[in-house]
Parts: sequence; structure tokens; C-alpha cells
Amino acid sequence: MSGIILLGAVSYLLFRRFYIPQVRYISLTSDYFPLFLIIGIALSGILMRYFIKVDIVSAKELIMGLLTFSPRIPEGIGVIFYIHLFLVCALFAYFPFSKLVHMAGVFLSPTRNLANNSRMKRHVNPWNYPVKVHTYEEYEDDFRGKMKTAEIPVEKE
Amino acid sequence: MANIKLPKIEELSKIDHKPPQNGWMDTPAEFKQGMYCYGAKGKNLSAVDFPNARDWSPDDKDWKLPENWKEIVLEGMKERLGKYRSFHIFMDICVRCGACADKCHFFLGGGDPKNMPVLRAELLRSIYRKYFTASGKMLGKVAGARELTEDVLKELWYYYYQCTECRRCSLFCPYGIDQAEITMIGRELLNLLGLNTDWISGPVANCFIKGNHLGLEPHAIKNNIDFMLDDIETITGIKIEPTFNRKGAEILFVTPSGDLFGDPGIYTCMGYLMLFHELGLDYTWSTYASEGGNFGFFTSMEMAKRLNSKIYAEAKRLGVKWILGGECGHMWRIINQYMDTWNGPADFLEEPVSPITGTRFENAKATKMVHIIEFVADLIKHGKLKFDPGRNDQFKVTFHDSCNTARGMGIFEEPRYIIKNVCNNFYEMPENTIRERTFCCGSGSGLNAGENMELRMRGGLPRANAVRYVHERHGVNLLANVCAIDRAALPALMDYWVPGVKVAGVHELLGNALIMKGEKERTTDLRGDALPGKEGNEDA
Repeated sequence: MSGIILLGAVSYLLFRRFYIPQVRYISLTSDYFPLFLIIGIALSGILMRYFIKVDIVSAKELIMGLLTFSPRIPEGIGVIFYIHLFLVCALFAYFPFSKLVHMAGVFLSPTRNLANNSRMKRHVNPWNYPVKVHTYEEYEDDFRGKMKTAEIPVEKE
Repeated sequence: MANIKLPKIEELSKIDHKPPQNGWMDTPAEFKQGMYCYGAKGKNLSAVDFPNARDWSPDDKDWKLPENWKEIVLEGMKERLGKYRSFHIFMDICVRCGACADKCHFFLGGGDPKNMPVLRAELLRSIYRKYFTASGKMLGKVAGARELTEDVLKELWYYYYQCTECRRCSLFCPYGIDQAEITMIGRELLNLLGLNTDWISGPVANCFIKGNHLGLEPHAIKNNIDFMLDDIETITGIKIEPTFNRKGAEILFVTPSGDLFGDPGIYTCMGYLMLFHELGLDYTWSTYASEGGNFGFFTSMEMAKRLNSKIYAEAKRLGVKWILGGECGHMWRIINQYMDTWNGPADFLEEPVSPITGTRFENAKATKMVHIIEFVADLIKHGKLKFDPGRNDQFKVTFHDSCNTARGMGIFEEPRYIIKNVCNNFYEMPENTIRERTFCCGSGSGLNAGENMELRMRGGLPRANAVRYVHERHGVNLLANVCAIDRAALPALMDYWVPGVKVAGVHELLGNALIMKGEKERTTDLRGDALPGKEGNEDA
């Protein structure tokens, strides 16, 4: 059942990428690749479970061998199992370098994890540097005559 | 490029949102008249020491770029990737889910796929991938990377000056990717090559030398306010005498210079003047820090800081206790988000306390600058002001949340609270177009020029549609707001899409309704139009 749900969900994501013209327009290879990869895993998994049965005891022996760092390759597990295993390994290897780590982005995004309290609390910028400004003195030098005529107070007469 | 014609309403309403067959990387930007601004003038760029100062036009084939322009852009990008965590993360994490695509007013009103926020970001992201990521360097186009060429640079310029930095897309993005931050950096990079617009660089130069965007010199500021005072006297019989550059005042008042010049900003300014007089507030105007807005923000952070520095410098020189700020949009983004970090700490000021109600504005403890909307809502809450809302009965009002004060700061209720106290007829636009989901006016971030009117009308279409909805349903005839750019930009938008709707600042409505001590019976509103029931009584 879980395989069917996974396949359905991923197919929906793929369908939406093809069907909505705007989304299709912005899609890159890196948007399609993980979808096809997951579809491959789900398909090979379903095939293995319901259609091309594999020897589950030998499969377990192989996996336990890997987990205990004493790998053995039992006879007669069936090709489909190795295809499935390869795709899963590819997914694991691809995962951390791809958009699939997007869950982390939700927490890392500065617009999501910073408090909007900058009027209340001072935040110091370590590389804040002095800039060239137009000072009041320069301004008054430019306009002193006009300010005096308009009866606006000045620093220097 | 003179006399760029704005297409008829029927023509502009036909919008095709379908992207073209060709991939976006293979579709070069087509510069459409009416969708972009004139190039910056050399004299304005050199007035503030910007690089590559020269006269140029986006219509020319040769943009007069420096020899090593590519190196400058990539160096600039590298520097900013190191400085801004936001920029670096936003270059990395997009999954192109498309949630932002139909949230941008420019895409909704124009249909150009490169105005989808995701694709606007990809324009820059593709360059980031090519020069800063391993996959982009190795796989190139397959990894969504592309070479930085002169055409790509021109495309960046075209589309990064078609974004108003309103942040609506960010609200709907599952990651909160903020296109405004990306646009800001994109524009900073373009400014390293002197690629700015006339409409932005002119006000920046003005503001640096003269203290405000409009280039009003000290005596002109005083004259303009004197005109308003004469009008107030005619309407209310009360003579107001504000002070300028006065040392020892309790409060320094800073507002966008748009309120000092032109209709309908001046009516909002009259509202401020009447309010402060009625309260007997010990405040002063400044001609040096005579601009709250900051077009420098649309060029680079550094330029924005250079302009913003005047507010604290002037507060210190005059020895005031705290600062009160007028109705404005991006002015408040800067005060809210940057001012203290750039030019603080404001330790020479005191934590703002309302002299009338004694309320401490703890939310402004660090910046020491209070928004006039907060200040007035507090006054009304304490029953310190008397109103005759009937003097606004000629208006059926709706409220446009400005992107920067709404999405940026969370000011939603205060302006509505004031409007409901000073007007009898108030109607909300549909929920998905107000408060944090508000639609931009389409002209923010320095795009409110004349030559790009088609862009502005397209970008403003979603907002105009929401206004039309309440106009037809409730007869709304006034669009209230708390932003000077709105007051400058929305009248044209309303005239085009929803004729019959006027635009006003909240303090204009407050000025109309405010009952002042010793006033004569008013026969007109601040615009000089007869009050309801007083028609034919006008002396004029």
C-alpha cells in the first residue's frame, strides 16, 4: 500500500510540473531528476513485492552483512533487488547535494528564523563601515543666505 | 523616446499568462517601450560618486560599460555572497515549486514569465550557478547555469527595474525566499556599472545635497508649508506657526518630501500641521533632514545609509528627545530594518514617550523613532482628540495597506482604527488583497516615473481590480493609504482603471474631522471642496 501511495504522490508532482505551463517553463533538470529517481524506486519496489518475487531471506542476509561490516553476497536474490538497491543508494548519495534537503531551508531561511524586532533591539553589523555623508555644516554653507532670508536659524552667522 | 503612448484599457486588459515555447534562457529580453525608465544622467551619478558616471540610454546598443565590467559584477557578487546570508541562501534553496508565480502583481498584470518572482530570481541564480557552484561550472545549462554576457546583463537591468520590492511573493514562498532582497542585490550589482535610472538617480543626488528628493531648498520648504498654513487658516480660521530647525524642541518630525509638494500629499501634510497644533506639541521641522524616504535604497545599501544618516545627525544637533515619522512606505522599511544598525546607536535620544498620554513606545526603544500612525492611534485610544466624522461623509473610504508598513512592519490595525474614528463610511477590499497579503501600488522602489507608465498600470492592475470591486459594490470613492509613493502613484492608476476614486493619506481624513479649539464653522474640506450640507455656502 505504501508503495502505491508513494508512486501516486510522486506522479502527481511530476504531472503538475508537466501540466502547469508556468511551472514547466521554470523547471530544470534538477527538478525532474529526483522525481524520476523516486518513481524508479517505487516501481522497482512494487514489482519486487507483488510481481517478480525475490528471496527475502537472502536479501535480509545481504543487508545484515552490510550493516555488520561483514558483507556477503548470497546466491539467487534476483536482479530486480539489485536495481532497487542501486536506485536507493543513488538517492542517498544525491540527497544531501540536491533540492531534496529543502526541509532544512525552511529553518535556515532568514525571513523565517529572525525576529522582526529591529526597532526595539539593537542589532550590530560586524562589517558596518563609515560612509561619506553630506554634513549639516556643508549644507548650511550651501544655503546660509537663503536660510537667513527665510528666518530659519543657522549655526554660523 | 519622447511621448511614449499608454495603450488603451481594452488593449492592456488582454493578458496572456502562457509562457512561450522557447526556454527562458534562449529568449533574450525584448525592451518594450513604456516598460522601463530612462537611463541615469552622468551628473547625478557623479554627484554621489557612483562609478561609471556618464549619460547613457537603455535604447542604445552600447551601454558604455567599463572594460572589465564582467569582473566587477562577479567580484561584487562574491563580496555580497559573503556579506549577506539572506542573499547566499536565496541563491541556493529555491526548488521552483511555482507558489510565487501568480502572486506578483507584475506577472498578473503583464504575463511576462520573467516577471514571475521565481524566474526573476533565476536570472541572477543562473549566473551564481555558473561562477560559484561546482555543478554549474561542470554541467552548465543542464544545471541551470549560464554565462554572464552583455545580453544577460541587459536582461537583468530590464527585469530588476520591474520589481517593486513589495515582498508579496515572499509571503507565499514555503521558504520565505524574499525576492526584494534579491532585487536589492541585483540592483547593487548594476549600480557598480553605473546602470541606474534617471528617476532614481536624480532624487538620490537631490537628497544628498539638498536634503530631499524633490530638491526643495530650505526657503522653498518653508514657503510650501506657509501656503498650507494659509489654506488651513482660510478653512478653520486658525493660524498655525510651526518652527524649523529649532534647537531644544522635544520632537523632530520627519516625513517624505512628497508631502510638501503636490496634490494629494500636501493635504496629508495639512493634517499633520493641524494635529500638532491642536496637541500643542513641542516639535520642529528640519530642512536638512527633510526627507524620510530614501531612493538611495534603490541603488545600494551604502547609498541608503549615506542618506539616512541625516536623520540621526539632525536629531543630535537639535538636541531633541525622540523622532516622529510621517506616513511613508520604504522610509519605514529603512527605519524598521536598517537605521539603528547603519547609523545608530541613538544613545543621545531618549526612549520615546508620548507627551500627551504618557505612553512609552517600547516597540521603538532602540531606534527612538515612532510612526505617526502609532502615535495617533494611542491618542485616540486615550480620548485625547475630538472628531466630527460627518465632515468626511462625502467619502466612502477603503484602505490600501502599503507593502512596507504592512508586510514589513505589521502595521495593520492602527490606520484602520484611525479611519474608523474619523470617517463614517469604511469598506474593506477583499481579504486576499489587504493586510499582509496587500497588492503593491505597482510603482514602488523608484518606478513611479512617467516614461514607464504601461508598466505601472499593469503592475497596479491587481490593486485596481480590488478597488473596483468595492467601488462597484459599495460606491467607494476614496482610497486611503499611509505612503507618499502611494499618494503620488495611485491617482494615475485610479484614473486609468477605476475613474472616480480619489486618493488620500489617512491624516488628510483626520485633518478634516479634527475638531480644533477656537475653529470657525468649516464649510469645506482640506481640498477646498464643499462639505456635505454646506454646498452653496462657500465664500470663494
